[in-house]
Amino acid sequence: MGSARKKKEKKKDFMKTKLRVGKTKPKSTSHTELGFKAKSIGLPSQSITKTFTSSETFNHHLSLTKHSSSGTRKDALLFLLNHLPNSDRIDSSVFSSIAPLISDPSISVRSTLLTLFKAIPQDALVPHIHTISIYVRSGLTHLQEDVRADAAKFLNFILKANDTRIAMQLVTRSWSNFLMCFGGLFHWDVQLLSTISPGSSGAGVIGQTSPAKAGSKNKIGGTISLEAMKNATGHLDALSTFLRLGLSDNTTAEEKARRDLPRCNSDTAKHLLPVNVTAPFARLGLFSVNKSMATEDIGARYILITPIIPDIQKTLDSGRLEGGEIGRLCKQLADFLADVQAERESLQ
Amino acid sequence: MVKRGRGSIGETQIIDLQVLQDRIRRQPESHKDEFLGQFQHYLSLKEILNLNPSGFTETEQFMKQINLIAHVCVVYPAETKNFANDLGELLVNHHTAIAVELREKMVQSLVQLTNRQVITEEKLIQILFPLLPTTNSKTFRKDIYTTLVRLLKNANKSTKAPKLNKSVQTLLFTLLESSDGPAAAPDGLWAAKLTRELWRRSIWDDARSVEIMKLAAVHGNTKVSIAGVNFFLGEDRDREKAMRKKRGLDSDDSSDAMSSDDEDGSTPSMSGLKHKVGVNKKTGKRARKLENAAKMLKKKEEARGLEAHLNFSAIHLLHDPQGFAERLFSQTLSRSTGNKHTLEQRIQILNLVSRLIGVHKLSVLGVYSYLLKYLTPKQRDVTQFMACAAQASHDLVPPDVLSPVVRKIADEFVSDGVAPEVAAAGINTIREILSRNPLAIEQDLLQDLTQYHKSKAKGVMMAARSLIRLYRDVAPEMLARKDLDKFSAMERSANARAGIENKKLQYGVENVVEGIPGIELLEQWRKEQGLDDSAPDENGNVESKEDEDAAWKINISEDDDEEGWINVESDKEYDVSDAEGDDDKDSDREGNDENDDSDIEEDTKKTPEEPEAKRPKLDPIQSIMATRILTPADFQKLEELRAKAGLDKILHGGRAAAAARHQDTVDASGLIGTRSSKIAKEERLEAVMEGRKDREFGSKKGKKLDSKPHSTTNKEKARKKNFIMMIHTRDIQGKNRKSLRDKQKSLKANIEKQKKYNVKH
Repeated sequence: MGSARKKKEKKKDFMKTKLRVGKTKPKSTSHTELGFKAKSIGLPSQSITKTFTSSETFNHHLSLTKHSSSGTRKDALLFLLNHLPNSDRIDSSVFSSIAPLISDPSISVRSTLLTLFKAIPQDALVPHIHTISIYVRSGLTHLQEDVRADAAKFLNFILKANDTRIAMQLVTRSWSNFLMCFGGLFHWDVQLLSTISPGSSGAGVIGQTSPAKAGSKNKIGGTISLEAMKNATGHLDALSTFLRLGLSDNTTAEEKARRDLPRCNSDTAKHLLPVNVTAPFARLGLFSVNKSMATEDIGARYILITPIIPDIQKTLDSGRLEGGEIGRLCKQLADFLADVQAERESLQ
Repeated sequence: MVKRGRGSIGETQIIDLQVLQDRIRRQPESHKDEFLGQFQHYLSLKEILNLNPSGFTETEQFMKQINLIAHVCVVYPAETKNFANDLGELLVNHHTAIAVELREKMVQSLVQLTNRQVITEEKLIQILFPLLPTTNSKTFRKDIYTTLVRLLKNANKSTKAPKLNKSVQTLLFTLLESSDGPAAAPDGLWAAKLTRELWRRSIWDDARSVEIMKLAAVHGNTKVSIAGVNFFLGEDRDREKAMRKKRGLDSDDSSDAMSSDDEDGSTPSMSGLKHKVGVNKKTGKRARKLENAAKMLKKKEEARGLEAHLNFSAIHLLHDPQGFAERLFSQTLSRSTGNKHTLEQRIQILNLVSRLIGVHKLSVLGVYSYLLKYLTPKQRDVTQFMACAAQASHDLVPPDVLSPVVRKIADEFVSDGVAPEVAAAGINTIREILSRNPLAIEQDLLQDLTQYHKSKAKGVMMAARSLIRLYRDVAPEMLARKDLDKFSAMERSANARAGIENKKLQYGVENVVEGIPGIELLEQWRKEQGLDDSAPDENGNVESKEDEDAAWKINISEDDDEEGWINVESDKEYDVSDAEGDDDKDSDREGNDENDDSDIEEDTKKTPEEPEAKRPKLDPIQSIMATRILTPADFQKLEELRAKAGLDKILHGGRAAAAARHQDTVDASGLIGTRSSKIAKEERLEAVMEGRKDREFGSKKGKKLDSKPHSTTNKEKARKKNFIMMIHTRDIQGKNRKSLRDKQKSLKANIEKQKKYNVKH
């Protein structure tokens, strides 16, 4: 029996494969099948027995800030709070992962983040303020009331920082963006802002968008009543600090002294780099795709704010009627605005 | 629903964008401020996205914002005028970095904006189309592709949108042209793919889209060019399939089986099956077979009705087919350009070139010598090459160019030494070529080949017979006398007696039928019947009017039963009027006419039941066609008479018939001819065994024992033990002597055991 089978097999080896007309050629005997099957795949990099270095742990916690559970996010922030302030790892990657948490849905995460910001040395914060401010703006326009309120806290923290370089960045680099945000908050007609281009200067712009024109516009929605707004105080506080920073000359004595040095030419002062400007050439948009609006001097900022001043005043007027803390803030700000307006008009 | 005042709505806190969207839809003006707030949020999120597209974490929020704005932007057009541009910019700049669902949302919103006429379709296509070749995500490509197709489909739904179509086609043209060259990335593939899809759905069916595919077919990149070639080869079938699906004629699962059956041409004949059912034993399988056959026939009938709906095929819509075929051949197939294509690709291209040649009757003479190289039985896929050779031949190819091909096939394939299959394939191919160009063979070779009709192999015999049948119709003078049919043989001997040279086919001479063949038979018949006694003058016509009316009417009703009015009639009458006018036209045509007439005369002489054949010849044109309007009844009679006289060949046979019989395409699998069922079964079994090679069958236990040397097991011994030795044992005898109770017990135990077994498995 076995021998018969063997014979058959042996015979088979020498049998010629039949070629048929119109059929594809059979595979040759030396044909090698290259496909393979595997029962398991090893991933040595994901081994559980591996120990981590400190930088790896740090990166791991940094990545945990994107975790879906709010508790984990908070824990990650607490870890950073313990390790970040005295480490040399404060770079843009850190801020790009923690700054999005400004509009985090969880309150505890946001409050931890604020403590973290306060713990970070302000010198280290300076280069990253622009990144943070973008997220603050997104928080200020957020749909949820409490996120907006907390964003105002972050904004207040930045505006009231001891290092003036921090606050001035907001004013110089994203003046109109923040005005638009405030406009969204207080329901001003911010469409007027977008009609002015950032680089344009001089009287021509003022002529185009006169306050009278803005006032004459029939606006149905009207300004929001501050009473209905939660955390109106925080918002108003932020607004007033912001406007004061932007519209009043707050150069320090030291800088004034620098400015008043004897010059060979009377026009030199005009061509000096502006004071308190961290990125003086940002408006040229040399290193970024999107040109951010740079407003380096008070004049330019005033031109931008002019069309919505009536709206602001309307808000302040309605706030003054409510009295209390809000009323006081509104009154102070309205007085300040009136002063600025008078000063500007006198200049012209 | 409670209607609220305007003030109260403003104070209610809006926690959900969905709610806001709903409210905006109802009262757009009073919610403008809320909307602007959300628009601000969108802007700030956009800024974040621009800052760091790959690390963007607020995807969900941003999607919601986009959704809201896309829904309400019709209400606030001034505020959102840049929205669509922004989305387009984001897509173009960051489509590789951003999350998949965000990308999808953006595309979806853009489509939504198009639907609401915020942006035009052209604009949308301009945004999306450049992404198609650049993106490296398969799903995104598919997404864009389906979006584009749907967009064009909707735009062309009620009426064609020529402007949009034209702009898209221009886009495709430029894509194809810009990416030309062998080293270029196959971007043009998308142009080919899109066009093919739109063609398949009959959204595009103009010459411009065919031009796009033409450009693709001669594209430098192999992938693109093969896509273009495949379009021309398979587009009709695709379209038909799509249309059939649309009508619900066949379900998805059975469509493939259907088409394969169609290709084989193996639809069983209904009558044969019915007969079998009546004669053979009735089984379920046979009944099912009959049912299936009936279904298939019905489907085929319906499909036949469909063909009328199909528009011109792409090959017919081509501009400058000669230039296209030449370029395709010289660019891809001729030896100077080198072999960068695989054999399969070369076959496809050759198939297209040959089909172009056949359909448009082009002269690309290089093809025939190119084919010579491949026409050997050992060539892989030789049947495909043979089919190409057949397709590439038509009656305007010079016989001296085509005859080497025929000779080569005859030499290589048809001899006593080769397998019958091979010989059958060879003869079948030769027959296909000759049915298109009968002059491409010498008489000796033809007569050699026809001798195979005595072959013992069925395929060869049938092939040779069909060759004979072809030449009986086309050129009987080339056949040996024994192969002729009755009438041709009689004609030939009559000619020989009279010393007339047999008429011969000539290259380039069109066989034009003038007048109505056999009309004089009708004339004669009328005379015999005494219908035409009255002279063909006005009175006679008036008198016979009632009869004629009857003839018209009767035949109309009959016609309805059989088939529609024959369209040719009117043509023929035109011919007649022509012939009337040009009695004194150029001599060439006159000569032809006379030839025809003399043939007919011969035939009439031969027919025994017409003794008056020798009467002086009437000019039939003068007698009947000039004076009478033929009724359908007349034509019917004429047909009868012609059949009697064996004249049918002139109308139904001949070169015209041969030309009508062959189709544009030649099926390669059909060239092999019939296969004996034994061989087919062997092949099938071979394939089955091939599949079983690596699998194990049977119990493991047996295999285990088999694998090592072992002595006979007890079980084996018991099984082989002689029955007689076992019959008196207690085990066997005891079964019969068991008490009823014991039997019951063992039965129950058995049932329990069975149950357990069933649960386990």
